[in-house]
Amino acid sequence: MPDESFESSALPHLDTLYRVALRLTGEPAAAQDLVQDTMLRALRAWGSFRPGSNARAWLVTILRNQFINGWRSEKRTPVGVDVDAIPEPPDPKDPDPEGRFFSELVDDEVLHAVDGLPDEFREVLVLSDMEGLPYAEIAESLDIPVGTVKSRLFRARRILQGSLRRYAESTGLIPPKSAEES
Amino acid sequence: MTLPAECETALAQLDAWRRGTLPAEELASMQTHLDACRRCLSYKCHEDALLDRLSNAKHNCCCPDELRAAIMQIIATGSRDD
Ligand SMILES: [Zn+2]
Repeated sequence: MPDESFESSALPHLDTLYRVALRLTGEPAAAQDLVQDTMLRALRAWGSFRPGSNARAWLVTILRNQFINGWRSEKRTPVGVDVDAIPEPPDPKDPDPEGRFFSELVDDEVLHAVDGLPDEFREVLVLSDMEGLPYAEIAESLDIPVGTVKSRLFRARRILQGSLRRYAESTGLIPPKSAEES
Repeated sequence: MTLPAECETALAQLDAWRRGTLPAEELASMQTHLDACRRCLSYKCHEDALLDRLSNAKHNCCCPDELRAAIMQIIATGSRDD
């Protein structure tokens, strides 16, 4: 029979929990507090965990609820993101049709752009594209339908691509698209 | 701008294709579309590059030792309280 102690079930997910907390709160100290609160709450609720079910999804759900209930109000509101202004897909005249500029960006620039996404887009993108969780597990963790996961992820990536492209253009990594081309 | 329906279909299936869950016949029609449509191919390249970059960014960040120690302490205290 597999070992299903709290320790063996929860500790393997600490890195994921910390990274998700960091992206939700936007600062390391707050992320550490959020993970500690999450683990304390999870330990107290361990009796209600169904053996054999997904511990990672269960922990992410607790972390996310803790964030919504106790942390979100203190968090900075992302600025400068117009979620209705979804950038168009790159066109055939794109100066960088293969998106090589992404590999030239440093982590801080990428993570700053991720942090600028509104909460509902950021959490889906972090869980899917940074942590590699399957759609079904994200849906379970966030208590939303799989279709909503997909549509938020689609928009999150487009918004993120737009902000990283603007950054790359502003720093000369790629030439700006000229007005005639758009 | 409105994309042609076949482009919308191809873009919507990209994730299933990456995750290896796209049925064989849809896989073939998607590949045919990507071979012929520069816009969708460019879109795919951009998204692949973005996903690569996001996945790399995570590798430089893990749970700090002091947090891990604090959590071990929480577990140890919790176990003693049982
Ligand atoms: Zn197309």
